[in-house]
Amino acid sequence: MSHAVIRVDDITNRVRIEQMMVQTEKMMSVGGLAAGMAHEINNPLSGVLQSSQNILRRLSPDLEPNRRTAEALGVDLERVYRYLDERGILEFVNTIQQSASRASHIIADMLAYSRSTTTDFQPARVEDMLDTVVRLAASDYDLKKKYDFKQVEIVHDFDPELETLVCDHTEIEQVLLNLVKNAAQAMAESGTPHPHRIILRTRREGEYGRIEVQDNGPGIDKQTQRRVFEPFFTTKAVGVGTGLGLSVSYFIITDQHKGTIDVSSTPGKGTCFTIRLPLQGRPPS
Amino acid sequence: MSPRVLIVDDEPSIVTGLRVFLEDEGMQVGSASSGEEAVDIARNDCSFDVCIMDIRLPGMNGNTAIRALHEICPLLKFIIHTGSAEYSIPDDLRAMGIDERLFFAKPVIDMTPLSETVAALAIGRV
Repeated sequence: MSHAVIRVDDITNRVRIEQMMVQTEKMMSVGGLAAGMAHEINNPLSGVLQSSQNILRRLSPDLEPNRRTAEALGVDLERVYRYLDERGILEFVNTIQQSASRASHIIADMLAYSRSTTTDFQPARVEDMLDTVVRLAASDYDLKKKYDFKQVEIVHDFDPELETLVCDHTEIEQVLLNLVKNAAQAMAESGTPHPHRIILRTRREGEYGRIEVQDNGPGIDKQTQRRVFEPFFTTKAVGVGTGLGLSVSYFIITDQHKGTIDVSSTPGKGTCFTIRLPLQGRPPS
Repeated sequence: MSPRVLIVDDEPSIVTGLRVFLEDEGMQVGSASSGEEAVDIARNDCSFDVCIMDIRLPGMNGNTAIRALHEICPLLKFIIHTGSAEYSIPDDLRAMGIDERLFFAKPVIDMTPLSETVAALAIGRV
């Protein structure tokens, strides 16, 4: 035997892709879990909301059955009502109602968010998507633990010429939410002096729509910029980021939507992520 | 005549919340915690005008319960009250006249529109 063939395969990438798929599966099942949980939470929320409304109604001197019971017990309902009002008790019940109703809106958002397992292309209003993203970011618990999103000034710079995009809006919202959260976290953790600002900018560029998420945070150096979309690349502490957020975003934008996503940044000044999507959901021929 | 309402829901706090509101509006309210129990009630008493039906119930689900109740009491009207986001009204229920106007998603933040719909249904105004 005069020849031997030795084959060496670098399987690093394959292992990474397999790991990424496992992670994606995990995230999908979390989405499913969220949907089930949301349904279960709507029931106790009904209890809170209905009970609060009944409390307010049964305190009101205007309701005939209330007046009858008060009279039978020799209670002056008008004065009881004034007492409850002056001690701020009616206001507390109003707060319970408003808080529960806010929770129910968050749940409705979560449901809408976790529902899309198959790509569903529909015309979506760009402004509505950005509004949803800001609302989700403001109620994000992980973000809240470290950072108050209300401290971030959100600047809207919308192009009236860019109204709708044909896309899977929940996927695009996922991408935008990820960018907004990254920006807020970067500004908080780097000790960027206030005001922290995120500019949401939209522009129509011919047959494409451009959406930008720009912050005035610490910026990203050139070397890191080249790697941000790599799976498992993260600058965050162990356990904080999986390094998958931007690579999943990259997949959603370039593969699913045939668009582009890129980053530009000046260290010390801030970072801007730019997404371009075909208006009609596919690249113009 | 004050409307007679049958609430079918397995969550006691929801039954109570609705009952109290509707009773304050002068309605007469009965309740069942399952579709099977509602069917038993209807077999003995077909005097209810309107049934507020939950969908996810132990045993028989809300859609099936509506079909069974409709068999027993053909004049009974229905309102669907569910927390399930994926719910859509089946075609045979639509054929019975149940459409989006009679659908209320949980949690209902203000019970007034629900109560007004019950009152309108009871006098055949929907």
